[in-house]
Amino acid sequence: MSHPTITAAATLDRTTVGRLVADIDRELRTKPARLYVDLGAVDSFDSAGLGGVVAGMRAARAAGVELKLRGLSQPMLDFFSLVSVQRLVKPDEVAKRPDPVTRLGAFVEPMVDGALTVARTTWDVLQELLLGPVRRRWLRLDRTAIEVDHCAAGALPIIALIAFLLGLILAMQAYVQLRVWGAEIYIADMVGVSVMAEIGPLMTAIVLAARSGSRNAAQLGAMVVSEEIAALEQMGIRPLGFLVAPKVVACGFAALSLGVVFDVVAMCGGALFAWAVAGIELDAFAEQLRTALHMSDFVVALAKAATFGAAVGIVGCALGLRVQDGSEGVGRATTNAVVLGIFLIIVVDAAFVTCQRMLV
Amino acid sequence: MPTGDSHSHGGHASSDLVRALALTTQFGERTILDGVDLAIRRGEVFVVMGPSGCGKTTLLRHLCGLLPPTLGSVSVAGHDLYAASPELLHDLRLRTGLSFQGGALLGSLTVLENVALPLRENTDLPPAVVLEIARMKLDMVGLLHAAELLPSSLSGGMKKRAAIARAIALDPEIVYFDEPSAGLDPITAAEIDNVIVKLNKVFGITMVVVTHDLPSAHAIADRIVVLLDGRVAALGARDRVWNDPNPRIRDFIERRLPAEDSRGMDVIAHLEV
Ligand SMILES: Nc1ncnc2c1ncn2[C@@H]1O[C@H](COP(=O)(O)OP(=O)(O)OP(=O)(O)O)[C@@H](O)[C@H]1O
Ligand SMILES: [Mg+2]
Repeated sequence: MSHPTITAAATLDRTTVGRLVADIDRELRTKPARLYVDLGAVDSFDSAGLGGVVAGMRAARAAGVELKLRGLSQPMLDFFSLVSVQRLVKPDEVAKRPDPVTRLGAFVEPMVDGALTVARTTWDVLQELLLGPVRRRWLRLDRTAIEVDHCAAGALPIIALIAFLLGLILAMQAYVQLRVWGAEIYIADMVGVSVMAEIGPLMTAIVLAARSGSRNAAQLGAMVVSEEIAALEQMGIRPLGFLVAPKVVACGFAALSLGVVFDVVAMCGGALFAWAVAGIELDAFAEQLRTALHMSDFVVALAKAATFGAAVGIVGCALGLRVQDGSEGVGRATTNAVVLGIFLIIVVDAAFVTCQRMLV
Repeated sequence: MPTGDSHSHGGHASSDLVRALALTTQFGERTILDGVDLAIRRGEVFVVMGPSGCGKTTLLRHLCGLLPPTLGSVSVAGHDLYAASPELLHDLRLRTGLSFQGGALLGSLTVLENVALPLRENTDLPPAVVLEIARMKLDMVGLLHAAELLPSSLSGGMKKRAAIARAIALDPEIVYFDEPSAGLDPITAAEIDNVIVKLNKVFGITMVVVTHDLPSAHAIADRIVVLLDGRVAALGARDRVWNDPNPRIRDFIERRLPAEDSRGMDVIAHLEV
């Protein structure tokens, strides 16, 4: 009995290989016992062409057809001597679709893992800062100064701008409500209390997460990828003391100082609006602020801001240091540093408010 | 059709494929290359040697169109690379492969996808054939077993081999290898040499190889250039360069410390006897 034969054209390269593959597929569908591919007429080829031949052999094997080659030239044999056809046409192990539990696990695990890393880093940083001096390890002030320059000084213009505009906006919102009762003077209370208690620390921390949390994650992640972290560790320089602790302290300090700036500038904005639109003298506004705000609230607000800042710093560093998959991982860590950072700010805020209200 | 064995089986046409004229590179105040002239012939294996930091990678970047020289010009197949239109430059790039010293694999793609990427983006081959070609190229560099891994989980030598597979994916007319065998064991290095020579022979691909590995250079080279102090110190057929009488070339080929190196000796002047 005779077997079907496919004859390749004179040129077997990336422009013509599609036809050969289609021919082989068509013959395979008739389920012959054996199929010949004749390459005797080929006088010019490239690896795409021979790739098509191997693709045909793989398809034949999958279809249970024996595929034989004919008329291989010496250059083709030279080419095939670089590869193992056996290895190439070995059928792929079909990847099993994971069961629902495994898939749920793959979804949840990175989150749990991330949360645990953040918790562990928090613990490590606390130890480093509180017990470090006992072990004669001081905070690296030189490195902290560099970080403060970026986190605090660098963010000053944008913080001041946001604060001023928000002060105006809050005063405007309050004015619209209070005008009805002729109680415009309470603009000071509304602006002062909301800025100091919530909006100041929150906005500062969010700006910090966007500017510095992302920076820390990207920087440390890139350092992991290029093995700089490993090199530091090998040299006996602990990344925790050399990189992480200064960054966390700088973020905490930045949130605190920027928070104060925010409060002051926002209240100035509010006062400006009250004076220009509602006709409240600046003296009266200041006096009203003084009765509305309490020192204890201010201290709590500062503590809150510093905690927000430290949380942002810890999240960025923790996620940056556990980067695994090269540039892809750096991107993911940077995104998560901002998202998780902002989420954590809200959680800490809730905790603060709850404690404060239960104690008072 | 830029590829294929249309240009002779190993028989070297005499025309020059790449020509560099008076290439000069300055980074700030430092002059790295200082008037390098060379021509790479179609279908040859051209080896670039020279001490570390002498500007071999820089030379490759000039030749591939990645870094314009401060002075001088590069022409590929008769076209001035740095005066070419963007379309022509794109076309010339497709005819060129480069395996970077550090691999430069895309971290978000598996090894197989990395090798398939230029085929997928630049040809309209059926997907099955694209994968088959990529797998073939991986098998050539002995990496088929790692096809599904991400670059971040490869060893240094594996990254290098994956980069080589990617550089030859499109059967380019000319491939530049930046230290293809650095960091590889002798057997794998010999396999890479074999791939370079065979592809050169079968498809007539012009191979430009930067290497410090003397045995490998001797095994694969048709012609060799040696760079010293930013200039061409020797250029010619392998055996001529290998037997060049210039003492600095002899030091390099025979792996000797240069005679005038005073290291370890001048401390004597400071000894109290
Ligand atoms: N982007 C750059 N900016 C400034 N200097 C550079 C830059 N790239 C390279 N150099 C300098 O140019 C010189 C040559 O570098 P190049 O990478 O070409 O060396 P090489 O010969 O490939 O060395 P090796 O064998 O170690 O890879 C080095 O001294 C390096 O410091
Ligand atoms: Mg180099």
